[in-house]
Amino acid sequence: MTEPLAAPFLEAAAQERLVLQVCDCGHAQLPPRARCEVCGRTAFEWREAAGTGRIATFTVLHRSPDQRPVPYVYALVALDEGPRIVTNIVGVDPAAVRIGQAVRITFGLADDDGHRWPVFTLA
Amino acid sequence: MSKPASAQIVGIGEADGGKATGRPGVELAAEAAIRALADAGLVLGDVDGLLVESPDVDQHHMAHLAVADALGMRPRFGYSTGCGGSTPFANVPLAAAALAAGLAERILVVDYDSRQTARNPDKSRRLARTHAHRNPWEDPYGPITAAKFALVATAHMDRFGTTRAQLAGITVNARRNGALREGAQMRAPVTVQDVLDSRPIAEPLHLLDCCVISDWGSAFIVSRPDGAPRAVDVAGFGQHHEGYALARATELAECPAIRRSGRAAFAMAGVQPSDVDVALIYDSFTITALVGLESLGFCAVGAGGDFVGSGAIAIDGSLPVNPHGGQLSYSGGHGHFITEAVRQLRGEAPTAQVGGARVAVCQGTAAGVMSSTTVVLRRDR
Repeated sequence: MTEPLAAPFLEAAAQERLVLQVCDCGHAQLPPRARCEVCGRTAFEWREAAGTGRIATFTVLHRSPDQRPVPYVYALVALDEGPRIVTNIVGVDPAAVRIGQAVRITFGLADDDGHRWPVFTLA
Repeated sequence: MSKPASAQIVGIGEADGGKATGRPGVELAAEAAIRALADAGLVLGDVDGLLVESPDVDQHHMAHLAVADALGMRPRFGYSTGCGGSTPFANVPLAAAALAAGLAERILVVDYDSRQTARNPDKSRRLARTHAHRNPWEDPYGPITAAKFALVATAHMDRFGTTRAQLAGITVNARRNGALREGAQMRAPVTVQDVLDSRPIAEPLHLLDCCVISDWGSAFIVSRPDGAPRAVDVAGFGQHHEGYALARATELAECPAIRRSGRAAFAMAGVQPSDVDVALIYDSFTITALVGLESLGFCAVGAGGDFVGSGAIAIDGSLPVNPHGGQLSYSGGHGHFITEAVRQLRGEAPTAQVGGARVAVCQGTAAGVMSSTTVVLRRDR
């Protein structure tokens, strides 16, 4: 991942922090954009998120696109701050995962470029 | 009384595709196009527009020109279009608009790919990713094609109590229809239990909840009304797009994209769901067709499981769905939903002909169910 918009996010993730792009107008975006999707301006700050949320929906994957072992949980988490992010739910038997469960952030996933990505576990 | 259509489909054609044909995609495209011309009683010189879906696997720089080369065509209007599985559906409003603007007189609309032939030799990853789609914010987490649909299925089951067995009814219907139809790729009938017992892919979706993967070529010709004898009217169309990233979906258990595209198409055609005689609903997965039926208004949102269970979607039901077998049985291609709708309205389906069909709805999705185009076709007898 080389897009410049991602740099603050990836730098924070390297330190095990989740940050959101927050506009002057108050709207929080993830993934980040060049402009705010609500007001169109570019006055952002990167604010640390609480790292908590709830599972909006999920699936247990039994086939992977690469070499990672299956099964694993692929989910959409609604962060407490509002934005929803795609992620994995870890540290729990996939059969025990349910929509609506409270989750909190953890780190442990890295991609081929060595970038770390937030994942979630049951809170 | 419905108002006269400004565009008609005057010819259809399909290539001899299927499982690992070894044939290049452009060859399949040309075969379908030639058959569409013959079906319309036209020659290549009668067509001056060309819309071609950009294939996922059999990639060319500008697929419409690759097809033009294969046919020996020099169109004055031509584009490669990319709306995923909904591309042939989406090409209908585009063709109608181009005809109305005088950009062409007759437009050949083609979709093709050679997904089976080009498949990943690593057997364990064959169903995992047939598309080279990238989303850097999702990819680290290991999505496969089925994942987007599975997320919708989980939400639908959680909110409405839909069961895997109810979803399985969609495959059972598809295979029952495909079993009758010569040329369908997967013709073996299946039972609900077969679907439940098939191996898991992206829960709750198992192998038999997933469409077949094919080499295919499909074509149809759109024209201003000019008295062609077996023409079918393009009565209405609509689109809606929620985006590509799943995080942008405004609903998870419902499908606003299909709902909005359907409403627009029905309004333009001046029809209600109850006027529809046959439905050609994109069934990349069982859940896709289920939310399609609900979102188009054939049953209430959340009631899709019961609707399928009632037998309504069977050939002898109140709303026959995919009489040819759909993607779950007939072919993993895209344009066959349009060509089958035309066959049905002409009364020319070789099997599972819906008696007296006058109004057909065709609905295709892309980006999971976040993008949709609905087309209403009509033929007054």
